[in-house]
Amino acid sequence: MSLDEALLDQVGENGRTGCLRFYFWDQPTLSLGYFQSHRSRDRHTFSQACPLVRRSTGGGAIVHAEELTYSLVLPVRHASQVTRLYEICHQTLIAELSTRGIVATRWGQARRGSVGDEPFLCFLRRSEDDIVIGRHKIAGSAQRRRRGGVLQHGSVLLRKTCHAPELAGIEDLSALRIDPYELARRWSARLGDCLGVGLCRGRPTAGEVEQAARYRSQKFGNRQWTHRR
Amino acid sequence: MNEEQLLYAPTHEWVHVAEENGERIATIGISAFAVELLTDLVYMELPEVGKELIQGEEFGEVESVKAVSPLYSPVNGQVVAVNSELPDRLETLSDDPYNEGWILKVKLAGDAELANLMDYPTYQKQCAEEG
Repeated sequence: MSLDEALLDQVGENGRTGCLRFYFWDQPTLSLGYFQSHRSRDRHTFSQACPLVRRSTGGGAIVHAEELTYSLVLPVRHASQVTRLYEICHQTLIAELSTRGIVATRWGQARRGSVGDEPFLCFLRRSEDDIVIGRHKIAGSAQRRRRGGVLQHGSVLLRKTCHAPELAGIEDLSALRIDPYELARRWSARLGDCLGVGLCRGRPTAGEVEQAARYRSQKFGNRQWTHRR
Repeated sequence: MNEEQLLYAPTHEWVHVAEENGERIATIGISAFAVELLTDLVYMELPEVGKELIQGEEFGEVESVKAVSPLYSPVNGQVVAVNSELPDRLETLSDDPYNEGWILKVKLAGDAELANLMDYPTYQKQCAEEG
């Protein structure tokens, strides 16, 4: 997440054209949405053993285990409307899943009734553009917007984990095995086409790595940041 | 407040300047256009009274549809009042963005930076281009 933030600086300030990253976590980790209270984690028993971080993006808490995390950084002209980038990312994922015979839809299309107060976990919340299989949310995204740039974080739930056993993943719901590397590769291609941008493999610059290290010590690896609310 | 008589920053904050007890006080809010772009607001974080603001730098944050966006100060000066009820009544921003939806009052450090702000017709032109 530190590198995501550093990349957002670059796209906002120095004209970097954008970046799409996929990653896994070293160990099962609970990430809070930017405005969530750190005390609210007490409401979720199963993830108590997981280390805690705070994202700079909004939304609800995510248990990062048995899921695929993505981050997309783009100039804001690709997403002047907040929901546009959610739509693009989620529609392309739905299309990719459909090639495997998995019927996923936007919650806005599938919903039948409202969901009441916001639950702690992101995957128990529902908003228009979330992706569901049946009534189970399997992907959601959130953003941090800054002058010139937008960072979108998202999570694709692959399978159930003991740290959030109330959530079913794509494999549990479809009885199909998902190779996350292949999913990321094929989804990226669709996303690039839909955004009208050419994607190529790249590495962060030395400056971006240095800035990421600063963010790690000041924010994402810093208890004061995590416990700021 | 009459929106046609306000000044606007490119980042969609509005400013109304008035004399209060011999001081130049700017009342600041966000425009109806910005509130509509942001859609349903769920959280807002504002600065404390006494904080020094610099034009173009962040003074607060809002969250809507899971997107966290900064609020940028349109002026230089010191915060003298905060609409502390606003974070608990965010619907006020869409119901009455130019009156009850005011966000901050700032004692201006000077007038020079006001020249960087837009009048209503110029701001309308910017909104039309963005919309």
